[in-house]
Amino acid sequence: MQIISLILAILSVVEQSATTVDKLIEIGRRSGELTDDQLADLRARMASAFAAPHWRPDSPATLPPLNDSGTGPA
Amino acid sequence: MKKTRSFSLVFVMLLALVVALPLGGCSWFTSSTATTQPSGDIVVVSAEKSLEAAFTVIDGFLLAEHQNRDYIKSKLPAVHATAEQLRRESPAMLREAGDAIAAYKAARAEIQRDAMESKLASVSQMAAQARTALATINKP
Repeated sequence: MQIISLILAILSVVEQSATTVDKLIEIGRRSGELTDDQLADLRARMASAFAAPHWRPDSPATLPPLNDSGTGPA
Repeated sequence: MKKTRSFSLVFVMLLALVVALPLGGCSWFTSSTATTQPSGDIVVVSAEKSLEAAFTVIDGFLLAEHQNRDYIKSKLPAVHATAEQLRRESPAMLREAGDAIAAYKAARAEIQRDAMESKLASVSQMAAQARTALATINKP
């Protein structure tokens, strides 16, 4: 079972790496500056990615609960 | 004789028209679209490529980690920790780098260029972390 999940994990990472490399090659091919619209599009793409599930942390950084008097951590 | 002369004149005029029309047409076309034509400031080109590449690498790593989260969390806790750190810290850094590029492009001043390069250095460092973590997962 563990071997299967290891193989699946490696396959999915290899697939993801290949996609990433393709995208990087595409970026490398481009010469010249982005237009204002293209830069805005890149920033919009990043903003929408940040809302995707794979960008969400397990748990957001939270402070420990306060003690009864509210002066410090419990 | 007169006929030949006028024929030559018409021929020359036609030739000039044939040569001038496409050139004129092209310059008219390019000037009408020149407002969105990118210039070739190497600093900007490199900054934009760095930002896009860093985002692509971090996004690819986070997606791969997310798809195998349980496995990576239990077997490769350091990789999971890197992913969590990038999830918390890189969005703000990437956003700020994008803002810095836009600010430099608007002003083209040295102070904005320094700010942009400093943001991109941080973003590139995060991308390097993502690349290393991705390589760790790939390691058999």
